[in-house]
Amino acid sequence: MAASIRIDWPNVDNEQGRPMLWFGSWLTGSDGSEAEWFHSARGAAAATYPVPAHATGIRVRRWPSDGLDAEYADLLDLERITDIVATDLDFDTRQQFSLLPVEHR
Amino acid sequence: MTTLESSRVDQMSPKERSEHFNAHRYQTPGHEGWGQVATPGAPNKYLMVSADCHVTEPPNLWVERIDEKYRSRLPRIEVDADGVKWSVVEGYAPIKIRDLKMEGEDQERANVGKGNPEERLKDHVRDGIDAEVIFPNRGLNMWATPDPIFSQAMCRVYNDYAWEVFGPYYDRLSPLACIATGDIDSAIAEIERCARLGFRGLSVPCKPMWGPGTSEDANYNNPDFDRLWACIQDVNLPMTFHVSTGKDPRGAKGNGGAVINYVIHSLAPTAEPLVHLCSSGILDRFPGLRFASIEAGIGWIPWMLRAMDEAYEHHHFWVFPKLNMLPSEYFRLHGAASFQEDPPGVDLMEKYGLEGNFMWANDYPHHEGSWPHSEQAIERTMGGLSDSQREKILGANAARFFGFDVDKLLAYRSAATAQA
Repeated sequence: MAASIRIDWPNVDNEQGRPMLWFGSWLTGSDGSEAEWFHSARGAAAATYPVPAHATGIRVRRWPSDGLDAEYADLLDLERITDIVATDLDFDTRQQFSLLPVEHR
Repeated sequence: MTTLESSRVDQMSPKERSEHFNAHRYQTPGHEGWGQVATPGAPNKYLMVSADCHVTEPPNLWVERIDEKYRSRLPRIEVDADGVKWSVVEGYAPIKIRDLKMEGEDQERANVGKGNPEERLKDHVRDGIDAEVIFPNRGLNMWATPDPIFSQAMCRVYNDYAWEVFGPYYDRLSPLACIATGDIDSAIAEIERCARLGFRGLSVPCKPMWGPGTSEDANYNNPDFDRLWACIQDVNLPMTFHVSTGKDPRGAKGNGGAVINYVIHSLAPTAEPLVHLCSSGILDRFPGLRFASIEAGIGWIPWMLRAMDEAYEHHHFWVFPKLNMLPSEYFRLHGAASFQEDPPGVDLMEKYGLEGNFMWANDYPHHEGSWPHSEQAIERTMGGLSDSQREKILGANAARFFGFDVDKLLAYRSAATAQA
């Protein structure tokens, strides 16, 4: 596991023309539970985050519309991840820890 | 709407459609003969207290503040195997995300109503509002879970936020404290905490346990809730039941779903807690309680009162406990109801002696409300009332029910006029 991960939070607009709201938190365990969060802000930012020993992944949320809830992408391969650009993540595919009822998956 | 009109609407651009469907908001018969008016800025304007407004909370409010053990259960957008996006909220059936493009004043309503007190005050001046009672917006999801402890955790986050933002403006902009009543111990703790902070009322769900409900579920007529009523009576705060806070309001889908869900699954269930309170002896045991339905309209209140009394008298052999008064009398003494534009309710008000119980609201910034055309909406529906009746339902009733300082509100208005 990398000792730290650098994340670039680019400055893109949401549907309302405001800077995108980004949120980053650590996943823990093997069921999609979340631990502490490390980033919550609109617009551009970049930082290197030390990976906690208990972390099993990263969850990145974004709000493409202020009127809707967050979309999210989980990154579970902490062995290989060292750099992330938030806009490169795939928010358009089903995630492993989906809360959708089975009949909707 | 005729078939021809329906076809024409389909061919309209979004902007034209917005103008078409909002045109009715500008229609008014005027206010000739009125001693006071609802015109923003008029020197003889009624005191207007909107008993139901909403704040659109910051999108990241709950993910930032809630205990991390709950974060993965918060509402979010999910993607299915086909790439279709769904809104997932624990107590709701998944809702497919639609690309809704709003235009004109529909878009304007979608952009206002956030947690900026100064902006809200400007919007209220524009609509003639002197004070507002604020309910959550996306936070109406806080009760949408079968887990009342999780629900309480979300309510605490909202209450902290509401007090931080609106506490300094609380004499005019007044959010109510949101309480999850399914867990009585934590509900009592949160009520006492919020009463100490200074909240002027409570927003409690239409049913303590979320869901369609069965007779086996805990509900307000159960004496287990006496501890809760004792607490609410002790802190002397009115409690409100907002629409869509007891079960999934999207019980229907397909043709007519939006209309069916609004009338049947959102508004109508708001009668349930009122009937529980008026028929089960709670108000004999706790005569200091005050309660109101919010956003459910008022036309059905006379029917509900009659139906309760009919059941109490005609089914007397099944009815227990026997009450000190008819169920309808408890509503008149303890109850209230908010409405936006409800001509049948306004028409029935005097006949059924309810002019002390009804509270007008503009439901800012929701589309089913009247902002920023409340003057016209009031003139359309209240021309048959007396000045005294309009004075009560436009502001005096809500000011009394929620404990607003009327002299202070009028002083704010005088100061604003002098400044202008």
